[in-house]
Amino acid sequence: MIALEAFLAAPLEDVIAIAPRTVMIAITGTRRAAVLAGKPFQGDEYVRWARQRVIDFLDLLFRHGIQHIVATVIVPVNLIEHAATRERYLAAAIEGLTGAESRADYARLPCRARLIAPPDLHSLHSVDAELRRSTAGVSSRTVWWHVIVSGDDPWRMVFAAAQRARGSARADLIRALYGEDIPLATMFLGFGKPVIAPHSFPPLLLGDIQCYWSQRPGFSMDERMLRHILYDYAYMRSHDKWDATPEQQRTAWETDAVLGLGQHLGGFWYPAPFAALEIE
Amino acid sequence: MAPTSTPSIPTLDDFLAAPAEQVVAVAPATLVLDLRSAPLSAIHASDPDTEQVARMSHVRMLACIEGLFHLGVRHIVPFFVGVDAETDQDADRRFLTWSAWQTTGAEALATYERCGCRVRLVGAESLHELRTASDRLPATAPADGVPTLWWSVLPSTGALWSIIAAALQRAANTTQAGLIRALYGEDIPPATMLLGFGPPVAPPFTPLLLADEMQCYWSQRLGFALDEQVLRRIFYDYAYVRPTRTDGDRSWRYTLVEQQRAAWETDAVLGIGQHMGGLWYPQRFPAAAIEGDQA
Repeated sequence: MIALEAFLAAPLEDVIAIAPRTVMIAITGTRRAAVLAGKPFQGDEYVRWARQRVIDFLDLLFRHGIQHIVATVIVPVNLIEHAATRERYLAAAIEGLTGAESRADYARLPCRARLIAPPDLHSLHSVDAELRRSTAGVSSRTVWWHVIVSGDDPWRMVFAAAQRARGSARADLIRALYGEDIPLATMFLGFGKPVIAPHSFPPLLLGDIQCYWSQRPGFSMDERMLRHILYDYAYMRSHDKWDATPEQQRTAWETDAVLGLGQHLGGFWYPAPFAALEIE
Repeated sequence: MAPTSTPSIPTLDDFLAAPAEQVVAVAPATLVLDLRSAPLSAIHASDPDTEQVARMSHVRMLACIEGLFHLGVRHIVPFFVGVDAETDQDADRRFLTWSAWQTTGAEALATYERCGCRVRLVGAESLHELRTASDRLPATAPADGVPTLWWSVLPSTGALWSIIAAALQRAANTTQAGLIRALYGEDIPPATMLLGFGPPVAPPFTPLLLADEMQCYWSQRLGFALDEQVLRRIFYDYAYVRPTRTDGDRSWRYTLVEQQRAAWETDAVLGIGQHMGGLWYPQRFPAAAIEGDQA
């Protein structure tokens, strides 16, 4: 097994060789990232800056060998927070990631982009058709944007796929919903609190998903951090043959520390320290 | 301006020492319990040491379930996942036989009696080994307020998907609740907590079906050894630390971010680990570096 430091400095093709094919992402904290970057955290300038960060993050993942990125543009809580301007908010978010500027970015990366929406949001299916047409053939790399406006939407999409599918196997339903085969996702990249919800984990694409939550807000993950995560994914998680626990490790396995415990940090949640045992 | 502290939030120390009913009041109604972990799943081997570890894990797992019911959880959805049946043709059968012992063995039945809980083996009607085991469970009808254990035994992908596909066919409507009723047989409140062991891994389709937003926690204790103090720490985080959404203006939070820069620029990631004793173990996560006292 390659050492971490060697992997961090390895040629890109070595990283690509072990990267997951399909990754789900749910990155939040973009306003915090804007503040840290000295940018406004609301208004048009913020929106333009945040959109570019999204594109840069997609580029980072694609360059490291990920072929399919599964992400959600809108989750139900966004529409609760912007209830008074729901339609305008929804339209702006969709336009931001499917409009002319983003299409130019998708051509440059290059990648395809798709918009997966609940069955009754017909206008979004038209947007998807146009997006499919305009990004067709540029690459097999694809970002699958999902729109989830209610808690039922992930499941309504599954039902709609089951009704349209030619068979009842999961692959049939994936083809019916997405229009093609997609490898099951095996990695999730999130930010902040460790939370799992159907709106960020499209059910049909669930594989054996190894999860990671960065605490850098927004799309601030850099190449070194991504490589460290990919190293854990490829070399640390797969090793599951338990050896008898040596006595000196006993305190580690009897720890009260739990991944997920946290503290308040100025109105935000932040992980509590985890004092791992130093291992030779 | 930051809102003043809320008097109804107890300190952690007070909560750890509080009467059980205070914990019960904030406990999640439904909890998904991820029982995939190397020591337990190692039962697939025939090594006597491994078997001994698995038996110990079994006892601790049942104690964990008992502890969760004691602290007010009404619906517990523990799940096991089978090994890859494509590389081992006999894997599903051994997994289901083993699961039957886990869920309907003598120690398990005694635990259910002490807890006064109902027990369901989800999908048992489609899996012969579990159908027989299911007959050993006490017959109980749906009833309000009775704690319920929803064992989800998830065999290899193909067998599991057949169960899901059948539920999609018989669901009365195309909602999450409709699919829950088709798969689980009755309404279950949304799961808002996931408790697992070892590395952070997402649950498969059927436990995810119950999820609203699940606040997730992964203990690193071997063999599911969670005592009441640890469970109370988790419930405290769930009830009082995770909620950061408030109805009012929250823009004041961004005025403090610059002072928290070091914390938000950390290289540490929840989920990155190292090997220890052949298992994954979390890497150190440092304390938040903050200018001034905001925590």
